[in-house]
Amino acid sequence: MAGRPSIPLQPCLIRTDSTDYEEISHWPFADPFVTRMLHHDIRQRALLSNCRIWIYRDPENRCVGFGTLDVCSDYEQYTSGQPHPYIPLLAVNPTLRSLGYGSSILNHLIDEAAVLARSELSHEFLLLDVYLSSERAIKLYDEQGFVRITPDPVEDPIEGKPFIVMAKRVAVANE
Amino acid sequence: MTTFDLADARGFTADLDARRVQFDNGEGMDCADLDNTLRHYTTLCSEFRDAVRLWGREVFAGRVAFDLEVERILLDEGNKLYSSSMEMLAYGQKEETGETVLDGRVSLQSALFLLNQLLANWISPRLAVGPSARVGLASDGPQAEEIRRRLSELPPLPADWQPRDPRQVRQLNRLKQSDQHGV
Repeated sequence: MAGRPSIPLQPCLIRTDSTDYEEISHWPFADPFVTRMLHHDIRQRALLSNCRIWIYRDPENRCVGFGTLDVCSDYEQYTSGQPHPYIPLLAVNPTLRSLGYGSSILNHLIDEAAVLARSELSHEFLLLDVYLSSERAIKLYDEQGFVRITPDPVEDPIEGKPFIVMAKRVAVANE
Repeated sequence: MTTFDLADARGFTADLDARRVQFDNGEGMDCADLDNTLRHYTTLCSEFRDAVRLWGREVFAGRVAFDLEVERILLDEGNKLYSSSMEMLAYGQKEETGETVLDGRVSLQSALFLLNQLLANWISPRLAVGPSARVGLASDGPQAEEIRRRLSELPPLPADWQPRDPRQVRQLNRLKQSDQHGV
């Protein structure tokens, strides 16, 4: 596919009670939001929803990042009431940033959502939300073809900052 | 459960309890044979798991306040249901002889696996950190219309799209084969 980076990563599904999960939960993220998401939301989504978590290893067997994909109903009013794929969180190992791993991780999650949509297990709109202050993340999503669907940022009253919702269609053209 | 308050949780667990006790020891008014009894336990396990997961998601989304007593009642019921269902499963396994496989035993085993996953990995639900579940987006109005318009214009993946993960490739190939065979 055009525009794809060619960093070969090995995805590995993990559970929230694994040592791998424990390890990524203690990575020194610059934004504490990531750590809070790992400690609370991802664990709950895995238990109460359909969230899966992958870690990604490079050819040297270093764990370079993780990605999560849920099938949920958070934005179901825009998916005809159907469960839709949703990316709650992905992150690159803070010691290995700016090497292009984020794109590889995101592409794997897009592929996973596409397979789910193809099997009719979830809707063809892959959704995510991101705070406006996360400029690097927004740039990454832009580059991978996600489109801002919220015309104006939405205020998050608890975090006290605005976020936007982005989406990508994961149905395949003219199969 | 619908309101997820204490009275609702008590009503739900009392109903589940009554329906479970009714069929203990493989005997019941409606379950004429062991296979049906095993299926009955499967239904109870699935209903319980669905209800607890729904309650947790409601708390996660901020639509219901977390109540420690509701959690205690639900977990107590879940553990009782798990124990009696395990006994029923063992009874079903003992009764399976030679090539006889009880469909109810197979389905109960699956339901118990999922119930065990829920109970063994239990964490108390709490309000979401991320905004999607607790803030969400409006369903109506000009902003919603614009969102729908933007979604409708999203381009699909290119026709030559292929996943790279071998597991995803295998899954996709299975789907294509199913399509070819009209499954």
